[in-house]
Amino acid sequence: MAGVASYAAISARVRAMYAELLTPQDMIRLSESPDFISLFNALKNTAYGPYLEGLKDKDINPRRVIMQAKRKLGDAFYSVIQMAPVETRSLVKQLYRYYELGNLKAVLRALVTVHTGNTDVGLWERVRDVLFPLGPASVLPAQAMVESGSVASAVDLLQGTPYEEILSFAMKRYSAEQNLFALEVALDLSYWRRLWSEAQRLTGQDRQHSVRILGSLLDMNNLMWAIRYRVYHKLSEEEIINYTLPFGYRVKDSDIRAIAAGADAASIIARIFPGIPDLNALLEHPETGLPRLEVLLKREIMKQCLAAFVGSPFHIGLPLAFLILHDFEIQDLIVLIEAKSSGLPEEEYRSYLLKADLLTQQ
Amino acid sequence: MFFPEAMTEVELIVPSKDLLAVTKVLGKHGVFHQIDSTYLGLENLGPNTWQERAAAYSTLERRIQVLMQNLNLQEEYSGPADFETVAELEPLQSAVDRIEEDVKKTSDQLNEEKKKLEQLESQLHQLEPIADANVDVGALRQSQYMYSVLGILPAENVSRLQTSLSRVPHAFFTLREDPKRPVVWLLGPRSNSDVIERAVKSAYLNPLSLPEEFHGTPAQINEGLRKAIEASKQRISELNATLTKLA
Repeated sequence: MAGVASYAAISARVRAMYAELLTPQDMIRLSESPDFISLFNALKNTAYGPYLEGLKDKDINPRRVIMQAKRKLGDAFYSVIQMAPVETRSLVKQLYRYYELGNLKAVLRALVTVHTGNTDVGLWERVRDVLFPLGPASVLPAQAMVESGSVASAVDLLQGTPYEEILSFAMKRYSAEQNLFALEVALDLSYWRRLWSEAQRLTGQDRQHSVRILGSLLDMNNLMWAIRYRVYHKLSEEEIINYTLPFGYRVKDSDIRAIAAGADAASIIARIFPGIPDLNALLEHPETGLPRLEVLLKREIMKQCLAAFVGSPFHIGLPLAFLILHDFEIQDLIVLIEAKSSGLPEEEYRSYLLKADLLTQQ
Repeated sequence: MFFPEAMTEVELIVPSKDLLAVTKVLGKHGVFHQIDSTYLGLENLGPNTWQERAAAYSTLERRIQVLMQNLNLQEEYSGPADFETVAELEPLQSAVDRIEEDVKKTSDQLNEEKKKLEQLESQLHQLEPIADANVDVGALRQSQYMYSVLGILPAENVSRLQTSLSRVPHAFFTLREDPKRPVVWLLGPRSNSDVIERAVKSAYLNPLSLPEEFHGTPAQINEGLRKAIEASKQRISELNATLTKLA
């Protein structure tokens, strides 16, 4: 494990950046903005101000504002990666790769959308606006992939990247099935395996905290995968097991296998997360219940992240917790921006706000 | 380098009986571009035997070009390109029919043999990962009660695949250890073939498709494949020699 000295600077920097995160009260105030422009103006008075000031009038639209908000998160990652002790850096980099994974999926989906008959006019321009602004940190030749015109040609362009090996297997299935599901699942599993393996490689408090924080994220994904594969995709027990992961922090492999085998998911989740209410009702109406369950599981992760700020700050758990809280804040802002721009009434989006929800629970 | 020149569109109306003579005169100047007049609705003005004849010559030319390609001959026009020297169509057609038949037969055989060689080489390539395995692959395939899958999968998926089949009777063998792409062999009751198939598919196992006509261990199959590849190459060489003679 990295020593106390190696965490002095990063700990101070992360605490300073943490202080700039929006509070639950800020989120509620933003939520009270009557429309998108008012929200945009209110955001300019927060830590997002410097990222929004430069936007020209014609660029003040939901997509561009979300992109600018994401830039702040990108800068936070860059800062943490630069300051993190050497032995933990590859873990933080792998966590950051999550956004690259999202970009890769977006590019592949764009290619399939074009392939199925939609217009390809200005495709790159449209795709570019939904990609996370990773800049030179990304190994994806995103524009060349989009312009290659097909999934197969785009995947060929990934030679020499961490995605080449796993996609070489998944592409055989894609060729036969013409469905991105096989590619996306393979990419997800590979990403989380690498992240977990990086966390396991650490020692002492670094390992303990990273396993707790990242393992909680993994728990949520694994649980939601297993439930969705069973409920929506009607996959067999064997398939669900192969499409999920055997590790996590609180969710054990036996829990995932039980869900895969058809056991009562509500009782399994209730045992692991006793604080989550009305599980039976949530699972009985999956269309509305599962997104709500995901929000509640994210709240559990937020609790783990907030707990990292209590006690010794000399471990990688603190920067990881900050980055995840920052990501959740961006998710909240996306909900708000989209809701305000489409004129949704508060009762329709409020339950999806993680931070405001946290305040309600307090 | 060709450069465009300004052109003038001219419409000439001549009696059908003078068509050849007029065309010959115009053709000698080498600057007159004829266009298809059918879109003008002129085809109904009189008999169009010249158009039919031109089409027949054009078809014949295409057939000769294909023949020359099959015989690896270069297209060279050594004779004069004058209307007076144009050969009669009918005797030419029968000669081309005869040559075409000879060339087509050999050419088809050659293409078929090339495909066969490609397939054999692909099968040999597929067998490479399990060349050292001492298993009678052919016997497994013919099993009435057992379902067997042989293939390569990502190393990180191996243990999950085994876990996923924990409630299904099966035998799992790693035929070739590899840090990234191990070769595995899975056996189970034929009654569970659907379950096993879905499991291996979801573990991203890429099955190896082995040649039906060969039997024995991979090493024995490899030997058979190599012999078949040699024979196929020999046959291709003979067919190429036949085509050279025809040329």
